[in-house]
Parts: sequence; structure tokens; C-alpha cells
Amino acid sequence: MLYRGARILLLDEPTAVLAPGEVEDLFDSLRRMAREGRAVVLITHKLDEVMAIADRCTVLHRGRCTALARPTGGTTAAEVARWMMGGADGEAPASAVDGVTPAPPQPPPAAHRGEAHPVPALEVEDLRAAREDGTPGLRGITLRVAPGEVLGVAGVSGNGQSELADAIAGLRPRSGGVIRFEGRPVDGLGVAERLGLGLAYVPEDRGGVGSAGSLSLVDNVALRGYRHPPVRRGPWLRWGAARRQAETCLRDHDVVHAHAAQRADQLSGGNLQKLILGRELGCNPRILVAAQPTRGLDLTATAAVDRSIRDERARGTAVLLISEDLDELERLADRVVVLYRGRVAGEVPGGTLDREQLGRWMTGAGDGGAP
Amino acid sequence: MIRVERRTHVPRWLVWTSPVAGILLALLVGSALLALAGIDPLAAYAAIVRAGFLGGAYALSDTAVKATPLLLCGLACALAFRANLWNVGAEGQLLLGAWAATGVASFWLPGDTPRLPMLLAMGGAAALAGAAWSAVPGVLRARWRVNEIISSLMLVYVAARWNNYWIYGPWSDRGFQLTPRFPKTAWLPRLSDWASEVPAFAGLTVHAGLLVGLAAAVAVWVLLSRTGWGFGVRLLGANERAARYAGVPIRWRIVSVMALSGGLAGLAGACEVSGVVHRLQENFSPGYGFTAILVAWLARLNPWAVIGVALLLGGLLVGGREVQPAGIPLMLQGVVLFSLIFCEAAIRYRIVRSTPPDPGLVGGGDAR
Repeated sequence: MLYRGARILLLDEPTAVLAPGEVEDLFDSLRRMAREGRAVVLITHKLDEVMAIADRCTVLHRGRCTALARPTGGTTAAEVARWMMGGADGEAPASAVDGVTPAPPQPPPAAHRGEAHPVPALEVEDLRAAREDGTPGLRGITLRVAPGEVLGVAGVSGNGQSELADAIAGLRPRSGGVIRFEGRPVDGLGVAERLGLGLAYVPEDRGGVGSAGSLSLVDNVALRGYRHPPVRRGPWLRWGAARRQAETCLRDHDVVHAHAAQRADQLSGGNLQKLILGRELGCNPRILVAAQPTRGLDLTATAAVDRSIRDERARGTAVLLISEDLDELERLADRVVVLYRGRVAGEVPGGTLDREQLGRWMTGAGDGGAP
Repeated sequence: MIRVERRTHVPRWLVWTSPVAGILLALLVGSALLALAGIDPLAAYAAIVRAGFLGGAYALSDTAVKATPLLLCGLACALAFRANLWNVGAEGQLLLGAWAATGVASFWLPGDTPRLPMLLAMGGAAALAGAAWSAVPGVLRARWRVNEIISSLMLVYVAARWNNYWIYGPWSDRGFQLTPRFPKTAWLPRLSDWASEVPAFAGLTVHAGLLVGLAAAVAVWVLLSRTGWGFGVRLLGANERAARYAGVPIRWRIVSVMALSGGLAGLAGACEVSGVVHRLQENFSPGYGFTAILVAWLARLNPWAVIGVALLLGGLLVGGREVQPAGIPLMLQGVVLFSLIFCEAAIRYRIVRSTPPDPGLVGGGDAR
């Protein structure tokens, strides 16, 4: 491209596949190009990249521009982080950017406070796990979620959220620490056993992990429960039961679909997410881990996901809600912890969040904790 | 303006179009090649059809004999392909199966073993040998992510050399390059065995291996569509990460699918030596295990369709024997394969008419 004399360079998440050293090389070339008078547009969700290289930055949140900033001209990382989460203050548009009227934050009932419960439903102690590339992803995380409590996990993506969810679900080996479901250590157990212990998991990647696009809706509803009755009897699958289960799930969760035999990848993102949530909740879980459950969804689908999570909370399920959307956490969470570089940087009670403080934690600036 | 764009999804009616169009295209390309070689394509095709399908009971019996190993190996391939495991080494697993069946029949069991235990032992040993052979690429893939296409293919050549060692060496019949003939109890029953009671059966060499193949087709279908194990296999084939999320033990499933696939191919080897050749010799298989890849693809990995396609290609093999030059069936197979791959890719695209995009957007770049 450069040899063809391009004057405008548009890069979409260029560092996703680069090693740290290569990122520096790339940035050096980008700076050189900018000096030569070319325009460089860099799309990224990594905050430190923005702070490292951008002259100006535009913050997008849910398809709207929430802020324009000058990292080199005094804007701090904490401010940008806050805008990325849809949070806002004086000069940026208010939190109703996309027309969602935030539900009145519900003060958590005292019984739902983590400390009040003797045995937390989900307990994570000093959990350590590696990332896909072998570098440390979780560096000692300790969390407790009580039955009927929603623990929000905030943070800029890539700070250990997906590793945390996968480690709890049994999809990622841990290198240290303990995970307990209702007081019982589950470290030796696989995905299926944890499922059997009452864990529901809504993965971040709906199409890539949460569903099999080329299979039917019936198959996808049976995806996690096919080892148990009524779908399973001995080694056999009972498709009649699976079909009925699917129809119930699709109806109860308003999944807009043509017929239960259609392929899952023909569903819209919101409907696929409703299917996944419906499937996971259909197993009557006692623990629900939901990673970015409303990312990329429209308003009605978001509202449906919200409702499901509230219902689960009311039913006494312990919910670990991982989200980059502060509005969502404000609407749903009883407590919020912030992950930064694989550690818990801080914790605040739910309700109206102190975005200033969260922003500092998200960027590693809080409590004197320099990176 | 007309342009070609990728389909977001392939409608159901198109899915079966691809094999049919593939075969038609292959016939067309094949006839062009035949014509170039100075052969009347229509006459050649007619001869193939006559010899393979329309030549009465003998033709059908011969076709069924050729279709039997294609059926079993085709099922082996279809099963593995369903799990997104590209076991292309069915030929090697077939050879190993034939080797094990020969060992049982001629060397490891006494020659006066009654027929049923003898045949069961041969089948069991062959399935185990084939399974062990394909479990090697299975384990390599599951544990170290070694590409199973290459490892399973390479093991075909190892299997051929392995068999040759035994044929030329320890098992050689008086120094000839074949093993001694099996005792009669190690022969699969053939229709012609009953010729004294039913004269019409005289000369019909179709053997009980066909029944084994048909039973295997039913078994593979039941396994894939009616059991939890098979659901895991389909999940693995559709999306490995979703399968992991669903709790399917990925490594074990890979190894077990590969082993089962190899077991079916091994069974094909046993049926071939026990039902047709009655001894082990070099080159007894004209590449059934390779043609089976084509069978599985044409059948779109559907066990029921594998039966039909195996008979079709079996007929092509028989018919090809009748026409000269003998290269025709192999050439046609190759052409069918390529046409199929082409059509497979083609149905993923469609031709659309569209209004040209705004020239202001297209020509905006600085073409220095």
C-alpha cells in the first residue's frame, strides 16, 4: 500500500496479531509516516496504544462518538477509559447516548452482600492462568459471589476478563489458585462436570464458542445439556425431547426464528444471544458467568438480556457479569470489581458508579499502583 | 453490472446440486478428453454403463463386489470427515486389515477352525489393526496437533511396505509373492456357493462382505445421528471451540473417531481378502481407500448416500475394465473429483446484478 503512495492509512486493530516488540516497530513506522505528512487512522480497543501514539482520538461507544480527545494534549488515560465504557461527564454526551434510559439502580438487598453469606456460590482464590500466547493472563485473582448477587467485572478488554471466564468454565487450565462452587473445589473437573454442578456460561464469542453455526437450532439448544435427561437416555439421544426442549427455549426467550431446524448462523446476533442465554438458564444454574452478554446487541435484545439476568438474581443464582459497558454494570451489578493486567485493581458497591475512580483503576493509575 | 459475490448461506436445494453438477461436468470434461484421445466418448460411456449396470446379474454382482470395499472405506472417510478429521489413509488401514485377517486365517488360528469363529476372528483382528493404524495420526493430531492429512497419507505407504515384507518374506507361499490360499473356512460365503441348489447363482461372486458394509452403514448412521457420542462428533466437526465449550472431550473424541474410521477400513481389507482374493498379495486393492474419499464427498458424508455412491463408482470400476484403454476409469475419477471440488466452491457464490457503486467513492483515491 505504501509503495503505491497512499496518503491516508487506515489500520483496524493492527496489533492484534503482533508481539510486543513488533508493536513498537509498527508504531515507529506509523510515527515516521505521520511526520512525512501522511494521515494515519488507527482503530484499536487498547487504551495504552491510543495513549502511546495518537495525536487525537475519537472514542466510539455503541456506534456513537462519545468524545474527542487529545492524548498528547492533556487528556488522561482514565478519562478515555471512562468514555470508552460509555461513561461521561461535563463535555461528553450523557450516558443516554444510545437512547437507553438507564433503569433506576437498585440498591442491593443486604442479604445479597457477599460478606453476609457464609458459603459463596462461586469463589475464586488467588487464581492464576496463562493467556493463549503463554504470557500471564491472570495474576492472582480473588473473588466471591454470593447466591442472588450480581458481581460486575469491569475493565478495558484484554486485562484478564476472558481468561477469568474460561478458567471458571473449565476451558482454560489454571496455573495456580483455587476455584470453588458452593464451597467445593472444582479444579480437577472438566467442562461437563462443572456444567453438572450448576454452572451456566455465556461466552463472549457467541458465534465462535457459544454456538455451532452450521448446526440447527435444536442442536444448538441441546449443545450443553445433551448429556442429561430428558435429551439423553443411556447412550441414546431422544430427538423428540430435544425438539420440545428447543421449542420451549425459543418461545420463552423470544428468539425470532423461522423454524427449529434452521441453521444457527442464520439468526441475528441478538436472537442468537437470547438462544444461548435461554439454553444456559434452561439448566437451572446456581452460578451464571456471562461475558459481554450485550455487546453488539440492539436495545430490545439488551433489555431481554438484562431481564434474564435480573430474573436469575431473583432466583438466587450467583451471577458473574463481565462487561466493558459501565451502564450495564450500573443497571445490574450489586458490586463491581475492576480488572487491570490480570489483577483486581479495586472494588466499589453497585448502583451509581464512581466513574472517576473506576477509570483510574482501569488504567492502573489508582491507589498509587503504577503498572 | 453483473458480479460474483459470496453467499452468506447455501440454501438446502443447492447442497445436493453440487455432486450432481460435479458428475455432469466430469462426464463433459471426460468426453472432451476421450475425444482428444480419438475415442468416441458416447460409445465408451455406453460400454461402461452396459458392463457395470445393465449387463444382467453378472454385471450387478461384479459391481457389488467392487462396491463392498468402497462402501466400507467410504463410511470410514465419511465418519472421520464429519468430525472435520481428514483421514485420507483409508487405503493403508485397509491394507493393515487385510494383513491381520490373513494372519488369523493362515497362520495364527488352526486351519480346521469352524467357519463362524474363524470369520469373526478375522474381522475383529482386521478392525483392530485398521483402528491401530489410524489411531496413530489420531493421537498425533490430538496431542501435538500434527496435520492428520499428511500423517494418515504417509502411513499408507508404510502399510504397503509392511505387507510386502510379509508377502515376500515370512508368509511367502513357496517363494511366490503371495501368501498361501486361505482354508475354506476363512472364505466369506458367496452366492455362487449355493449354485448347486439355485442354478441361477452360478458364477455370481458377490459375497457376504456386502452385508457387512450395509450393516456398517446403518451402524454409522445410528452412531452419528442417534447417540451422544455422535452428537459430540458432529459438534467437533462443526466448531471445535463450541465442542469444547459443550464439554466434549476433544482429544479422546479425535482419537476414537480416527480409530473407528480405521476400523471400518480395516474391515474392508478383511472382506476383500476373505471374500475375493482368499490370500494376501501385492496390489490386491486398486486404491479402494483413495476412491473412498471421493465416495464420501459425493455422498456428502451421509451414510445412506454412501451406499448408492459406492455402487455407482463400483460400476464405474467394473465398466472401466471392459473398455480400452484401461486408464479411463481412473481418469474419470480424477475428473469427477476436480469437478466436484469446483462445484463445491461454486455453490458458495452467486451471480448478482447490481447498480454500480457511486463513482465518487470508487475513483477517490490518489493514483499517483
